[in-house]
Amino acid sequence: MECIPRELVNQILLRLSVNDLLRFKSVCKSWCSLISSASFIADHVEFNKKNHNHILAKFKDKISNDYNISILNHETLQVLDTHHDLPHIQNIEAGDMEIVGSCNGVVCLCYSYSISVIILWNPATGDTKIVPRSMGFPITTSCRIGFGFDAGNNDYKVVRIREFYDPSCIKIEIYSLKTDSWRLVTSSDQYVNFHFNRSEVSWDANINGMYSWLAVKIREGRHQEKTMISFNMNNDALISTPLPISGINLTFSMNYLIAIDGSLAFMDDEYCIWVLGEYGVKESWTKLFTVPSLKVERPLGYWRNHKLFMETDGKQNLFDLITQERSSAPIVKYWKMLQVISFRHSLVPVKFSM
Amino acid sequence: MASSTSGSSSSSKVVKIRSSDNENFEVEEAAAARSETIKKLLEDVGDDADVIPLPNVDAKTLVKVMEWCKKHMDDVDELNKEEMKTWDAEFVDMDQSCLYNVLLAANFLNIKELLDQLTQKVADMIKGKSPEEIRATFNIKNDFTPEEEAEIRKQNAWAFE
Repeated sequence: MECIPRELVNQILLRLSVNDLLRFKSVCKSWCSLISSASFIADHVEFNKKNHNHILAKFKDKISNDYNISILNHETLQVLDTHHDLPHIQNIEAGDMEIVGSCNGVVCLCYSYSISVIILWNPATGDTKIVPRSMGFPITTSCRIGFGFDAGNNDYKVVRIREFYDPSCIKIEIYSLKTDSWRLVTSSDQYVNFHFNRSEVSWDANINGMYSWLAVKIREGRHQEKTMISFNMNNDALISTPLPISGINLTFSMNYLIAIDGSLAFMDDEYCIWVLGEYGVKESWTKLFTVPSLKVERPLGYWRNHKLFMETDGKQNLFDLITQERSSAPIVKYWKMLQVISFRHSLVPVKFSM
Repeated sequence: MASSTSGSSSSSKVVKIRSSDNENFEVEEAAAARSETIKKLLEDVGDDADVIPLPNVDAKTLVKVMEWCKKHMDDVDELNKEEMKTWDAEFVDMDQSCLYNVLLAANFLNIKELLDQLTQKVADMIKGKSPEEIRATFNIKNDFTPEEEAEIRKQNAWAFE
């Protein structure tokens, strides 16, 4: 084949995997600069939104007790890639690590909430970045971390948000990958005081630039009601969404937020699963499944076709929300699955800000 | 092959197009209009059009492209989607030089769907290959110094495993 015009090379390369593209950087200078360009990387993310979905899961080896993160094929759950050598920092056990979220191939890892070391990692390129320490609030402060993409500014953001009792305190701080720095957001009256239930975790609750957590609203020093708060990566605003039913038990720890097929879902005390239509609008919750037999110890994440990865009595399996049947997930034979989120390969760099 | 009879019982309008090697073709307008380039030219010249010259496409390639356009003349038929998929897969299964010419023609004639199919075909052909194989396939000169190439390979070492 003779030399192909650049615009066609661009079209062809968009259809290739990250691995192929990294290898093809050494074909010639023009391919290297095309594949490395910010516009190609963004186009590649956009093009592959339609396909190539994967699953990122945190595992513990049942024999060696080592932790790893693996990438699984979304259809077959076959392990495509295992990262034993997790990006880690000296003296920190991998077991303390949580996956905060993943967005356009960039994964945000948090090594223990108290130590507060946050890492951005692109498993496809091996690129890692340690997010600089924030100076905003004391490292021991009870807080939550979120991660997402600000499409308007083409920026990746980490957000730390803390429980709030004193209106003069700073409540939110935002890290921007573009500027490689933290910014404080001072409190404002629109924000409701809230408290986080320690055991409640959101799984993959990062939808279209909105990262959500469950919290308990506090008014005049008293716990009022459970609510969902979401941080909008695009305008740095917090929005509170009332839960679909009132009277949710404040101390009950079995309420979960979970991403189901690109929508945010909430599990109530009665094991009903509700899907959110519009943030901030209580009426936009739709009850999708009622699963009284779903006495879960802990859902680990959503797979597809109404199936949840979950852990019951220490055993891990797949739970079908429609038939309410349990089946074994082949992957958990040797590994204990701890966390599951959806993931997509990309070339997005995290080491250097653009 | 080169022409079809106009004025047949079919009421569909026929347009004339000419390849770079001066061969004339009569094609149903609905098929020719799958090409945004031809469509625009037809709009510009109106009914006065005698023959539309396509100086970038030779006869052999044009026959191939028009074969695709005829098949995709009306893309409303949902029933034959599977059959169409098979047909498309067979269509793009051509030798490399032919594929290259049809790709350039589809680009010049601006036929987006065909271009998508062809670029996907090329992508499928080159996935998993080595940089050396890619250079040979596309006739690309390696313009890195050995040191530069070694450095880039080192940076992306695991893509070579």
